[in-house]
Amino acid sequence: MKKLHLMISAALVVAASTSVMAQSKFEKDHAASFKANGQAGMDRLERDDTQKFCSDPVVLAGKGDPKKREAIEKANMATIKQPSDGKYLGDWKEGERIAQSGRGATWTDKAIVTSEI
Amino acid sequence: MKKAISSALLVSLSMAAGLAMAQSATDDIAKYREMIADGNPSELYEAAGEDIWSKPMGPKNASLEKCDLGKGPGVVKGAAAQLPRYFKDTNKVQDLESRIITCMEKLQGYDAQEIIKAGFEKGKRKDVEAVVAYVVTASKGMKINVPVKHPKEKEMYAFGEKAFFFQGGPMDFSCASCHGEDGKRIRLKDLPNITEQKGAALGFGYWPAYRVSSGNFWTMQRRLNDCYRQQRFPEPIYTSDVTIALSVYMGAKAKDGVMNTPGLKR
Repeated sequence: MKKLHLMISAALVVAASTSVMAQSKFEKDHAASFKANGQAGMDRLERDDTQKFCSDPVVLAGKGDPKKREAIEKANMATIKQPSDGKYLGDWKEGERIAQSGRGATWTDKAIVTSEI
Repeated sequence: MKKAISSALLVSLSMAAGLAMAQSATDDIAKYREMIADGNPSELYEAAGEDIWSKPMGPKNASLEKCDLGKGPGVVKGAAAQLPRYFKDTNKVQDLESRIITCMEKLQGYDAQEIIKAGFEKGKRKDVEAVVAYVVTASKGMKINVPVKHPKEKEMYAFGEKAFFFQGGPMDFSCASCHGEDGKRIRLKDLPNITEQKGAALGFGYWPAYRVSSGNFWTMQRRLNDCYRQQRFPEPIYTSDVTIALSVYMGAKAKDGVMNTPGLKR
């Protein structure tokens, strides 16, 4: 009996971990149409919960599960960090430079070495 | 209170003026496009493509004149308006470019993988692009009629729709980010809403096109490739399932719109 218990719980652990990591058939087929190029690696096709939620046209139209929507919004709002010194007006020249450019991070752009940021 | 109202009025007036300026700028661009539409450099590619179509080439020294683009061997007129579609001989849904490659391989003996691995405008793919210009010109003015009847066509439509809304990458882009709503614009370029017939027809009916800003002819595959680049995604493989599925989705949504190919773009 104990052995059966152990086998069942072991199987459950394996099932749980593989379902978290496993791609859906659609995600597998979708990824098979792409290849890495420059800094644009295949990891960019791995969606987080927010992206998966927003991949639904029903959700984009403002419908779908309102509780899930609230949870996703809350989780994303929590990642916003207010400036530690309370100063909201930063370097506007730098802001404009970024706003006007619109470039970077594509496979034809040079990757920025994070230690240089 | 009075000060608040007048400043609010000022803000909304200047916003309206800004909008009006932007709208008249896009109107002016439309006028400019009309003016230069008579001399579309795509015609040079079309002429080259017509040559390549009838010229014996490749290891088998054969022409493409028996190539079946969905309306029977050698029928070019109207072919582009009903592509992508299912083909029995390859047992898959194919767009114009993948079908041209099939013909180049089967009729002329070229290596399909070589063409797929080459870059745009490189090697034998250059000839594919010219033939595309030739074939789409032969559908100009016709009604868009991409079929979604065969089970594989239906599968590709569903796949294309899912791909269209797939949000990913470091900037959370999907096709829908730019093309999923009315009234969107990138700088001075109005973006068609591809989820509806009118917008889908503006997309499907005007690409492939000659692109003035880059001075070359872009096929539909190239247009999709560059969309994905700007979405910060990895690169779509040339004529991969996702690229064909997106054409099925867009073409089906555009049903009964008009083919205005080859187009002329900024």
